[in-house]
Amino acid sequence: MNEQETNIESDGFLKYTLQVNASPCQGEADLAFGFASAVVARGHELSRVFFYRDGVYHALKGAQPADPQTAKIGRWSGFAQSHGVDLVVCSAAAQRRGVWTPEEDNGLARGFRVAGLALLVESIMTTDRYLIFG
Amino acid sequence: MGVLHVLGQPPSSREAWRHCRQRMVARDALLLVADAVYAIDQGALLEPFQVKGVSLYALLPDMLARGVRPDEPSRRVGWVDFEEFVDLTVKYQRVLMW
Repeated sequence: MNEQETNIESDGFLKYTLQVNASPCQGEADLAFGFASAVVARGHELSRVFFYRDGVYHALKGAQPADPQTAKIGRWSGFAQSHGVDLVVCSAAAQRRGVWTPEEDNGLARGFRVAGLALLVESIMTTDRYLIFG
Repeated sequence: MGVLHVLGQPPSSREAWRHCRQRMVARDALLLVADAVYAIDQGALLEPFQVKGVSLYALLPDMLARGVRPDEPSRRVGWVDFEEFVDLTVKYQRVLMW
């Protein structure tokens, strides 16, 4: 459930928060990336993408998938760099999966950072639309 | 406008389909994505939604990826690409992902 008041600016452009629960090789991950790209292409603001549950595997640096999958690993890093999108990995979910530890705070792929659920809540409250993938 | 329901579960996920159907009212829209697009070849699954008067859409890239052809008798389903998916989330004030 994600119901919220809408707050459409007069110019018709909206702010989006996305949550990705799917791992990089699941279909919903493609759906999320396709949607994120389209949000930017349509001129809306993609404020933040929050990676939660198995979605935190997106931030795993050094993954070496078979060829057809390669693009799925690095694409968020490139996307964040091109469009200034904040990529946030849930600290608890990442720690639980060994993707990140507080002691070695250098293991994440480029463009990702670690934060808690409070940041997700803040995003939901300050953006117009919130979609969950996976 | 009402709620945009985004359904990605295959037709075999009866519970998800049933819950989604129960939540929908006439001013809502249903967008089929991922494995849910297989339902387009099974018209009987979409009939209850049409009876309710909801608008039906399907994500074209997901259809093409699964060999569900848009030129088959389509039973009033609108094909959308990703940017039109975004347009739907603007038009409908709330989005529910199933």
